Amino acid sequence: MADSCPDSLELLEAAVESCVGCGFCLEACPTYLENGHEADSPRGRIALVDGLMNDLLEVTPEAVRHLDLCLGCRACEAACPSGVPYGSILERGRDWLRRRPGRRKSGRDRILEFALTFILPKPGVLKLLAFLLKLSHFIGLFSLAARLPLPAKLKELLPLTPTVDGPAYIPRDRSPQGSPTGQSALFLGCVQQQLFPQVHESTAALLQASGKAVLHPKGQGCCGALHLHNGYLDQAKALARKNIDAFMNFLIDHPEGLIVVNAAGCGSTLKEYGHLFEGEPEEKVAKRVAGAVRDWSEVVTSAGFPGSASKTVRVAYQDACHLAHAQGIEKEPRALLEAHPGIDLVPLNDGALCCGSAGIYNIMEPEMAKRLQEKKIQAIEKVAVDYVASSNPGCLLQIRAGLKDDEARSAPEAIHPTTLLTQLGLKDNS
Amino acid sequence: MDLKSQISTLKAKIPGLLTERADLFAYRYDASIDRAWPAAVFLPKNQEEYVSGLRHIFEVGLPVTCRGAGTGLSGGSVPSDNAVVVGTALLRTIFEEELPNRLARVAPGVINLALSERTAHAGLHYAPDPSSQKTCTIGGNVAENSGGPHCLKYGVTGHHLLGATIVLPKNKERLSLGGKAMDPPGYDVLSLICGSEGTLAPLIDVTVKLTAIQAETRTMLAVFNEVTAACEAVTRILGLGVIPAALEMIDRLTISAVERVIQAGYPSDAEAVLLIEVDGFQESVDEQVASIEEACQGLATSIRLAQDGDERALLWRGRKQAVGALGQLAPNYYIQDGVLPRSKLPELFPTIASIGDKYGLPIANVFHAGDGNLHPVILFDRKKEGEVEKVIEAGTAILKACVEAGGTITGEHGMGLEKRHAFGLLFTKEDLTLFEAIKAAFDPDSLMNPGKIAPIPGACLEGGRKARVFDVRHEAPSPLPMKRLLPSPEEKDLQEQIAVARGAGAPLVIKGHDTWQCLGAKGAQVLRCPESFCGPRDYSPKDLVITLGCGTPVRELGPILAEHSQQLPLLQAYGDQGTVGGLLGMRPGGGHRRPGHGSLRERLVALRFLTGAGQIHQSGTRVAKNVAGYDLPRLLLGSRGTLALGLEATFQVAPKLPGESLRISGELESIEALCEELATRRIPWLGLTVLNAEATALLFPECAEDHWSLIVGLEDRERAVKAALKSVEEKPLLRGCELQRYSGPDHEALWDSLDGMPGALKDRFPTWQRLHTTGTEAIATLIRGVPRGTPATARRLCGFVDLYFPVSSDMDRRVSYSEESWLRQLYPWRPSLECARLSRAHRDLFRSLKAVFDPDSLFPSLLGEEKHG
Repeated sequence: MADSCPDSLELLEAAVESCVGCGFCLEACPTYLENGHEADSPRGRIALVDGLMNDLLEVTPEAVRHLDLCLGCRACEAACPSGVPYGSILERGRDWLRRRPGRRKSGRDRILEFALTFILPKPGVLKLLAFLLKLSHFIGLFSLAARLPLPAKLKELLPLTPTVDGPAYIPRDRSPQGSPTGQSALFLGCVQQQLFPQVHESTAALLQASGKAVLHPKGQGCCGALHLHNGYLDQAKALARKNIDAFMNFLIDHPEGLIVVNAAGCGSTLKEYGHLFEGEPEEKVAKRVAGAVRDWSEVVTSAGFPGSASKTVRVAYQDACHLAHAQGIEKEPRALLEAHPGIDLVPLNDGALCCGSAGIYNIMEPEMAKRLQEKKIQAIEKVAVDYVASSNPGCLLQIRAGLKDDEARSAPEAIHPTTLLTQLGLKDNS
Repeated sequence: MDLKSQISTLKAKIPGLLTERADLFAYRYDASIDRAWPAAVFLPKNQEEYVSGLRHIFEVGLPVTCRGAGTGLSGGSVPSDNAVVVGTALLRTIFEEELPNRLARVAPGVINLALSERTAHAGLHYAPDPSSQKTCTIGGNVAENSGGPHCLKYGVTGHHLLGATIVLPKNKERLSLGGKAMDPPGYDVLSLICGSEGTLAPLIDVTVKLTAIQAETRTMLAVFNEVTAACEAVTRILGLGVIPAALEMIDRLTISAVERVIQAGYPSDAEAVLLIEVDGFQESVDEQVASIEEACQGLATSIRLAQDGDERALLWRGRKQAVGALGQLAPNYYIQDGVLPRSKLPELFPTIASIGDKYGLPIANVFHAGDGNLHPVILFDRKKEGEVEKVIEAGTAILKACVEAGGTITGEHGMGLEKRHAFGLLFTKEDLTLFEAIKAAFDPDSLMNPGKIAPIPGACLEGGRKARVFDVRHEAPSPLPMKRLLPSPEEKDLQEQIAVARGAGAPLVIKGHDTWQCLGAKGAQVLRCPESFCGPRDYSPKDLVITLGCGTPVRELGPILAEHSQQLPLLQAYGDQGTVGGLLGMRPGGGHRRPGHGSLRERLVALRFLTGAGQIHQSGTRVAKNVAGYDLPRLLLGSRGTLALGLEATFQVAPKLPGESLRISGELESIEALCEELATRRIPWLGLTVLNAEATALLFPECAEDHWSLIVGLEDRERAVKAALKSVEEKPLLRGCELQRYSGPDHEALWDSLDGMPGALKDRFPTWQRLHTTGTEAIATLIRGVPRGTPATARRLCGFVDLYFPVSSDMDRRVSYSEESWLRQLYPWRPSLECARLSRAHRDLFRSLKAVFDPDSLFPSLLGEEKHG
């Protein structure tokens, strides 16, 4: 693939150099809080990358292990006073490690590569999977599997299997309600479109209620977030190019148009397409597209909310890492939830701490993911709510899998904020 | 045993010991510029693992470098040669939290800010606030005696330290130092541990004071076109008698870095800004703001008062993350930590700038201006050839300039690895020998963080040993020549006197005016300060410091300081015949004004002394903050003339503020209820003292019989005092009580008479003791424990009870004596009474320390174990 590797390496070195080692990031890091190990902290991982690149340290499974254990939640970036681009160090560092001559692939690498190459970028495969999931849930395959003598490690993953949350989303263009405020292009993504069609449905409804026309540019696909986070830069770039083409067409037709994303991980990746192509010919268009990307909560207004509600539900908001840390969006979704008369928003202790989902981390690193999940569930159980709202499919699955009914009350429902808002009723359809 | 087999032996005993290179790699650094590989890393998960692990490491004989969060800026937690790094990151238990008593006992890995956040609901916080407070640990803070912006008003870590448990490397035993009450009997080993940079003993747990969050806070940003104008403003603000909660300076280069990352709202065209925070009672805060505006008049181009919590938080975020933000301007930085008298600030800035020019290195300044604690940050790129050496040379030049200006080389970061070559700037060969002997009293095999603070004897001093390991190789800086101390003729006479006594094996006893009636051995010769050490030696009101000869009579001080509207509280206690040296030796606890004024421990900044070995040492200098070397002034404070003769002491003085008091006399029940209620109030306290019926009758004969009294003392700006007093007088509980206001000289006289009570009643009650206990216990003890007929007083906010009892009485049994409370002999001092309950381990340690200072036991024994019949 035509990738300018030396440039990427230079960018990586410069990013590593920007860390002064003050250690302010430590307490923001979920894995450091768990392990207390400097090598499992952002500063430690940057030092490891530095050491590996400068031959102060040999590439050993132990060294790579500390990098693998990073969630990529980027909470450290928010805590960093020097503006170190940690996410980029991790992505480029993983990419560099993967490409080193003589690297031997582990079983972990093989599974990862299979998913990244043959599932996520292929809408047909995803569609088939969604169908199989529906079928499996219908015939009770997962509850059967839970009773079969399968390996414990595999069984632990069972609760994470998603259900398809509604009828398939039909990407037909929609017109605004009330006074029009502009054009929006809904980013459909990969997993979100097949497994969470309801979230797209609700996002579109909220956009309409906020006066936006909702378009669905053709040619768009997976954003490449998981490829990027796991260090497959070439594949991520290939996917990004497709999306850049698709959305550039939209932006040519609608220069003021916005690209609206409802999955935090996709949003941060799209917003950072400019950095992905730094120093490359595509940089300019990538930046143009990235500049038009918005999270749903940056675009939706409370215009469509009803004036009063017949009942109120207690809701806790869990920050999706790639929304709060990577995009700096914490206030907007909370403000929208608070603005709805049917919602009593209660603060969640350590709401900004990662739940352990982190893309496919919970499958690759189930042990650490489970520890973080338990922490999160404890915090949620303390506040006794009806719903836990979060803007990322992975987080919702992770939280859903951990929540259990207890004697006093049934478990809160993990839900995307857009779904919650539309379920509670908008002006026109209430 | 070679290192390899030591590690494998250790691994068998500590299964979780990390030895993989990738694991070790992450423990080569802290936030400074030094790097070194550890031999192994141990991350205990709980206290049991921690203590047993430490014992195993000591047994195997490997050095230990303790590490909290690795945010240190002097290389203190960079591993010593072949050291096992013991990381406390997982030790985060808060064992005890006594909010009414304002204290907490925590594991060493508890995060500084986390403790404040946890106690905020009760209106309390842990006051020392290093910029890294979001991630740094309390254990690390204690090891370095960390400061922070708000330490200007609230004092550094050591001022907030009540107790600690250590494991003594010498015998691997656990040892509790201090506890929940203040001023434990015996030598102040706690002060020695604090700031010892992990070179004496590992901390197992730490007991700290919690401080009430003030009712009101105002934060201001003053903008200056010239750095010198900003420096002048600092001096003027303090000159107007305002001690802000924080007074921070940020220069142009730093502003540009901060604004790039944070957009804190610092004007980018300013040469310097001052971030000023005041706090306290509502009326006081308003007046302080007005005074600051007055002080900045004609100097600042603008002053902005933060309008809400968000704006305030943003201004502070800019300051706290400023050093990190400088990472935007260069890949590396080297941060200095020199302190100088505030009045020298304007002189030093051009010097720093010219040093930067000379070496071609940009230097940013962001620092605690109110303390005179500089943080020049030298920006560089360690990958450039020869750059690191240049940076160290430039840094050393700055340190030299600080010392020449009468300051010190580190105010809060510690000596660590990076400043040990500069040890000689402050210390003599004799000091080094003394430090080594102190270390050996704890750690004879030199296992605790060896090679920190001072150059390694015989190795680094000659520049032979590769002590500093950087990623980019460079020459280790050669140690600077040691300072030499020239004794005056009078001092030489004293040395001679000691030499004669040593030769003859004749005992000595240190005396001033004999106020405290100390015992010496039979026939002991008296050693006292010569005439030339009676009187003030150096007083600079601008810098808020005074140096006094230890023979100075205490009563001479008030008028000298009053001339500049300043005061040195605490000195007038217990009879005005005493000398400064006597007071230092006996450390009587600070008197009834301690809640407002603090104790001598918080005021003493330097001491010149003569040891029983005949050596003269000068420890500390004329600045408020100084963490270079072991804290000898505080160790000697209260050592009762058993270690050394004090010659010259330097204190921080305070601006004199107007005060007023209210006496409330009434039935015991009302007084008790009122006292508890008032103790929680956030008003400008001077003191809150309860007098039992006997003490009331003695001091206020006009009171009804059997009435108890409560003395409420307030000190602040006049309007604030009046308003606070009014809010007290409005209490419904006061009904049926007799009230009396005291202002002006009457107010002073009232508190003097409280402090002077033991002295005034000496004829009737010759023996006085102090009971130290926790705050909530104090009043109950006063009521339950004191026999009828004995006058006694209790300081509620400090948790002391002063009480009289005949030596033969059963008082000792009446009070519950534990780590939470102790009896101390006030006077006459009899070691057998005071030290009776010290454990064998404490006695052993005290004996070893005594042998360091007084090898021939010329002076009396603190434990009453006289060598000389």
